[in-house]
Order: sequence, then structure tokens, then C-alpha cells
Amino acid sequence: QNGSETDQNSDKQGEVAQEPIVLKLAENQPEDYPTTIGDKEMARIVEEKTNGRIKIEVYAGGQLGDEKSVIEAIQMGGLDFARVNAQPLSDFAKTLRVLSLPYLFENEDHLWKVLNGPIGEEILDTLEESDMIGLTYYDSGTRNFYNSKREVKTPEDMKGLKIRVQQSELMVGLVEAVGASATPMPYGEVYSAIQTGVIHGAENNWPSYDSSSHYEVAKYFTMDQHTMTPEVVVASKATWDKLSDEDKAIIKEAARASQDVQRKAWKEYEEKSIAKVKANGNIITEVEDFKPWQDAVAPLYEKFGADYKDLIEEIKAAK
Amino acid sequence: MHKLPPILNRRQNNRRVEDLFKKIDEYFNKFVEYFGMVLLVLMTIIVSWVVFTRYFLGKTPAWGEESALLCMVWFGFLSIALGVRDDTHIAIQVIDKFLTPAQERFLVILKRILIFAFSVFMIVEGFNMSKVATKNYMPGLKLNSSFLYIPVTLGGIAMVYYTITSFIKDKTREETI
Amino acid sequence: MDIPAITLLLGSFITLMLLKIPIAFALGISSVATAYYVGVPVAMMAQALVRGINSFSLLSIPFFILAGEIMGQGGISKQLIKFADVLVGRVRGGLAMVNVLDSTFFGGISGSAVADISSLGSIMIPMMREKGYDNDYSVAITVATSAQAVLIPPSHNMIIYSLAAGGVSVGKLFLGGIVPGLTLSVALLIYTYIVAVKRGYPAERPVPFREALIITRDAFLGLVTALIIVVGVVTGLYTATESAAIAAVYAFIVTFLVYKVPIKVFKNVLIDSLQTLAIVIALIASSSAFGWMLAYLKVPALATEVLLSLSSNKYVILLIINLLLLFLGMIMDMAPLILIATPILLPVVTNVGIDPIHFGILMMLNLAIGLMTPPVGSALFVGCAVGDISVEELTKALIPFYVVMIAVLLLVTYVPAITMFLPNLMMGN
Ligand code: NA
Ligand code: NA
Repeated sequence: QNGSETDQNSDKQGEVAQEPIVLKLAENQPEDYPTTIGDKEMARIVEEKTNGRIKIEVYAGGQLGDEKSVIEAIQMGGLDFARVNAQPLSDFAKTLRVLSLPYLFENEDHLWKVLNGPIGEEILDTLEESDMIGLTYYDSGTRNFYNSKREVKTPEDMKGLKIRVQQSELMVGLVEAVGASATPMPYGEVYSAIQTGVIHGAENNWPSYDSSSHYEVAKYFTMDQHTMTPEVVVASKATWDKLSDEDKAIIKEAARASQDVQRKAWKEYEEKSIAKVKANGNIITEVEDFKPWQDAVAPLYEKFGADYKDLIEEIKAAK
Repeated sequence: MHKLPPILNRRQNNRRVEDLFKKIDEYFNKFVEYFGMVLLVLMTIIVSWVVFTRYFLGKTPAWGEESALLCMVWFGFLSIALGVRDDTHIAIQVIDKFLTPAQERFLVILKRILIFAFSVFMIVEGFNMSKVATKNYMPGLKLNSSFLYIPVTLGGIAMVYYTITSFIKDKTREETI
Repeated sequence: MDIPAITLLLGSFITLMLLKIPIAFALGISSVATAYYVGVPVAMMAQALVRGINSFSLLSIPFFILAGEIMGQGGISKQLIKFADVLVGRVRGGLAMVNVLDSTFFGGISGSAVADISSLGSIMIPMMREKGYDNDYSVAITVATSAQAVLIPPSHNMIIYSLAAGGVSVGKLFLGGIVPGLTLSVALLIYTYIVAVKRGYPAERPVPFREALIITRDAFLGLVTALIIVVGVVTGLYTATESAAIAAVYAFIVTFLVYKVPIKVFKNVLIDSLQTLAIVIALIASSSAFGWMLAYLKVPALATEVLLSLSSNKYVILLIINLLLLFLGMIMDMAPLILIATPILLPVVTNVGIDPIHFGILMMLNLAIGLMTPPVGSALFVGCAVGDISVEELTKALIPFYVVMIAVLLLVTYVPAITMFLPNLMMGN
């Protein structure tokens, strides 16, 4: 009904008691997850700024489908907003792949300087070709390797480990570049697969290492911080085109403002996870020298970054 | 040789049309069945291959899971059509004891019309989805995501075929009786 | 809350189903009509059909059905029947008890109720029929015991719950499911014994030792199928899903290469497998569209809101939640329901002092019952397809099993120690 309501809104602008425009946002993380907190903050600001004229309903927990289905729904205007990771989004808009290149960002300050600056904005703009409007980025922390076998300090130690990765050429390339054996596998299978020894480990951020309970079966965690692929809040172009310029501005601003709340929630969540994992007695290894890791993945930049050399240089220069 | 009386001639023509129809029907059925069978076997081989390569070669193909699932989607929609042909899809029969034969016949017709309508939905919207999905691709297989939605359309086409032929077959059965 | 749309969705589904429209199409048509009514692009229903099938958790089903057909048509099953006679032939209702126990072990490994029915059902149901058990009873017990697959670790659904609950320990959930699962096994064993005595199910002469040895030798290659699944999964050679494919390949090799069954039988095997799969896949695809509409219209949230406003007493709330989950489980499939209901209900129950692990197991048991109830239940549907029996017959035969399972559910609900004892013992509070 949201589509027709939007039309009604522009038709009967003078009317006093308007039905609110109800827009739907799909979120694949659970209810109290940092990204969901961010979505809800965005919804709150929008409702406040429009005096309740625009309501955004958040559907958490992936109840409206997995990330890729939700992106397709966004493209055809079946859903209005979604919070998705830049990784699956890059299957729809290739430029976003750059953000998943390993060891690209020096640290988190570098990441956010790029994302919230002109480069980040430029990358969001490329989504429009795929019928989406990129609104803002959310924090997804840094992804790291963990395994059940041994402490990993250098790529040397990765040899012979079977590491689960997402079904992505880049991630397979990364794991193989650092010397391990990449094993694509659905997320839900990973816990049992590590437990029985089908695989030896996986890679993820702190909160997921905790929430997936993988820390129970894979106790060696190496903070190699290979990627910092952010989350992205997108709107459907179909919905967007029906909104007034004023409403577009309100939503865009609300999304940007919700990023601050989301990042704060992320940090808190991350700290809680780290504390829980440490209390469990897991072995956490800090990487002292990133050079061998960076050297190992250099060929990936040739393979996956060839079309985006300028963009990569810009990002590196933006420290 | 003397000419056949016109009535016989027409009967022969009818038979020729019937034979042609039977041939087409046979080929169509064979095609749908063999396609499904091949995919079912292929899917089994793929998953076994993934196990083999991971264990013995220490390398897992990125396309394994995606291609096995793609096989399942393809034979899934084709087999749904076979279920329509054989009328094996589960329905409940609680109202059977209250129905007259005429009402029973009416419900069979209603069922076919509704399945026909749903098949049209599958043809059209499967096609629309595959258009949407051209902008997306399956990262493991490096294949356009449209391939996930084409079988919806194909299954729909097969179902349209089977609902129409079930009407025709009923009709010829009635005539022969 | 869009009441007219919810009425349209549920009303048209039930009407169409009563008018003898196949359930899969009743689900699909009512979902498409409702999508059209609320202005969602109907292409999204086509997307939902595909998403329903394109799901890793289903991947093992075709393999198990294929393996079952190969074993049935190729003769392995016959040898297993004889072997079962050796083991339990003398016990009244022995085969029914085997049906309970097989799911306690294998159901645990496969982790999915539907996989459990399609793997064991395609062997056990014909076996029981041959031995003079009523067909509906044979299918019903196969379906009822599949709840073990959800309760006894590992279980896909517990992992989904753990994620939806924001990271509840999977290890504790796995441990928490064991005693409730075994409790259910014992309850079902007692029930099958009572039935066997009442209906006079066979108890046969003991098999002479020499003959028993020969039978065991003949059944050996068939028994290895089970071994292949268990050993492969436990030692980490492959995952539970993959073990299904390996089992199918192994059954193929034994049947067509070792026993030299003519390869043309394989064509029949494939056709019959496709026909069984057609029924299952159609229902799973359209349940996915229907479930999406239910979520979109916020039906679970609405139902919860109404029911939880009724009481604040801990025991009443638990009862209400059980009823709610049973009701939602009747119309929705398990995985999406876990995702939707967990965040709504978990805060409510933790508020009255219930442990998230305890609640998780309650939810598993509840939704496992929902899986085998009409009108929407994938375990029920697979049972109908594998056992070649109508929904009404199967549902009727399942009624006593519902009673047994609900009794166990109430026990697990009101005696938290049944669930919490093991996880607390092994992993601390
Ligand atoms: Na069983
Ligand atoms: Na159900």
C-alpha cells in the first residue's frame, strides 16, 4: 500500500488529517543488534522531523528475506529501505567491491574519513544505476580469522587450515592468498562443521564471533583486521522518486545522523563481545606486523582492483 | 483405387491429428522428465565432488553449493509441473461426503482454472523477476541471477500445457465413452 | 494492523483449501492475491517461491529421498527388514520402537525433521507395512519421531534460534535439547508398546542363530549406509547435508555395481523420486510466499500482542506462549517463525525469569509439533508424500501422538530442570 499512499500524499497536500506514509525497512540482524538500533534511530528522526507524516517500520531478523532477496525487492520497489552489507551489495553494484579489498584501510579513522567524505558519497551514488539510493554507511567492525587448531601470528601459520568464507571470489582469493584453504559454506553449518572438524575456522567480526557461538568451538582469534567492509542503508529508487525533495533531504539527514548512534552501539556491542570471549578463555592474538599479510594479498589488487586503480589510490591517499 | 467416402477421410484426418498430438505429448513429457532426472543426478554428483575436493585436494570449489541449489530450483519447478500432470499435489478431501457428482466435476474444473491462473502468474512474474535479476549475479558460479528465476517461467509454461491437455484428455475420454 | 489484508490472506487460503484446491496452490494463490491487494509487486511472490527452494537447509532432502528409493527398489531395504526381525522381531511392536530409536540417533545427526522423514521414512514405512502395521500408523510414527531431529543436537533450528536470540550459546542449546529429546523418546516408546499390545502387532518367532548370522551378513552392505552417515559426520569428513549425497552415491554403488541390479531400474528410481519431491517442493515454495505475507502483515506480532495482554502470571504466560507457538506453527514454517517470534517473545519470558536456553528448547518442541500439524506443516507434507497417504488420514493417525508430545511439552515447560540440568552441569551457569 505504501506506493499508493505516497501518491495520495503528493496529490492531497493541503489536507489536514493525512494518513501517514508507512515505509518498510528490512534488516537481517536481530532486534537489539547495533544495525537495528541504527535503523530505528533513523526511523525515529524521520518520524519526528516530519511530525509523524512519514513512518518507517523496521522488520528485523531477516523476516522479509535474506540480504540478496531484499536488495532485489528494493530494486523493484517491493520494499522501501534496507540495511545490507556492502559485500552482497557489490554483486549488484561492482564499485562497492573496492571497500572489501583486504588491508585497504590503515585503521578505523581512515575508513570513516573515506566513507563520510566525497569518496564515500561518490560510491553511494553509483548505486543509483542499480535502482537504489545509498543513504549512509554503518559500522560492521573489522573482520578477523579464527580457528580451532592453533595460534596464528603470520600468514605462515595459516597453512593447512580450512577456513570458511562467504561465497565470494574475493574472499576465496584472500584466504588462499594468505596460505589457507578457502571453504565456502553456509553460515548456519559453520558451528557444527568446526565442532566435527570438517573445517578449522572462519572469519568474522567480534560480535558475530560471539553471537554465532563460534568462539565456543574455535578458540584462536587473530586480530589481523583483513577487511572493514561497512554496512549500507539503501532506499528503493522507486520509493525515492515519489518523495518530495524536502522529505528526501529529511531522510538522508536522518540516515546520516543515525550513523553516530549505530557506531556507538557497535562499539558497545563489540566491547561486550570481546569481554565475553576473553572470559571464556579464548586466545586472542594481536598482529604486530601487517606487512607480510599485506604482501600476501598484493596479487588480489591486480585481479580485483584493476578497474578501480584511481579509486584505490584516492582511498589510500585520504588517510 | 477408389476414393474413400468423405466421412472416413475425416476420421483418418482426425486420427492423424490425434497421432501428432500424442507424439508431441510424448516428447514433451520425455523432455520434462529427463531434464529433471539429469538435474537430480547432477546435483548429487556436485555435492559429492565438493566433499571429495575438500578432503583429498584441500581445495573447495566456490560454485559447489550455488550450483547444487540451482539444480534443485530447476528440477523443483519442473517436477511441480509433473505433479500437476499426474494430479499428485496434496489436497484435502474433507468436504467429499457432502458433494454431488456435478459439484465434484465443478470443483475439478475450478481447480484447473485456478492452477492455470497461477501458472500464468508464474510465467509472467518469473520473467519479471529474471529481468530484475539481470543486474545481479551469483558470486560462486559467476552466473547471472536470472537463471534462478527462469525455471519459474518454464515450470509455469509446462503447467499451462498440462492443465490444457488435462481438459482435452477429459474431453476425448468423454467422447470415447 | 491491516486486518482486511490478513482476513483476505487467511480466509482465501482456507476457502480454497476446503474447495479441494491442492494446498500448495491454495497457499500460492492466496499469497499472490493478498500481495496484489496490499500493493506489493506480485513479482515478489515469484521471488519468494524461489527463495523457498533455494535454501541450503533443504539440500539434503532430494538426496535422502533418492537414497531411500534406490534402497527400496534395489533390494537393500528388504535385507534391512530381515535384519530388523533378528533384532526386534520377538518384541511386540518392535519395528515401531525401532522407528522411535532410529530418529533418536539419526534424526540427531541430520538435524532437520524433514530430512529425518525423507531418509528414514522411505525405508521404515514400507518395512512396517510389510510387517502388518497399519499404513497410517506407520507414517504417523515416522512423522512424530522426526521431532527428535529438532531436539537432539546438532540442530539447524537451534542455530537459527541462537542467532535470533542475539547469541545464546549454541553449545548450551545443544546440551539442553538432549534430555527433553530422550524424554520424548521414552514417552513415544511407551505409547508404541501400548498400541502394539492393543492392536496385536506382530511378535514373531526368534530367528535361529545360524540364520541370523546369514541375514546379518546379507544386510551388512545396507547397514554400512547408516555407518557412512554417522561416522562421516562425527569424524568431520563431511557435513550432515553432504552425508545425504554420499549416502545416495553409496546406495547407488551397492545396488547397481555390487548387486548388479539392472540399470534401467535407476530410471524408475529417479522418476519416483521426482514425483515425491514435486509434492514436497511445491509446498515448501508456496509456504515461503505465504510466510512472507504473514511476516509482512505482522501477523505473529499481532497474535502475540492479543494473547499476552491476557495475563501477567508466569505460568499462564508460559501456557499462552505454548498455545501461541502451536497456533503459529500450524500456519507457518519453522525457520521463519523462529526469526520472527524469538525477538517478540524472548523479552517477555526473560522478564518472568525464564532462561533463554529453556525457552529455546520449548520453542523447538512447540514448533516441531507445528511442523506436523495441518494446514501448513512441512513434516506432515513430507510424510504424506513419502508414505503416499492423504493429509486427513495422516492427521487423524497423528492425534494420539500430538497428545503424547503436548504432554512432554508441558512437562518440559513446567520442569525447567529437564532442560537446564545438562547445560548447567557441563558448561556452568
Ligand atoms: Na523415525
Ligand atoms: Na504446522
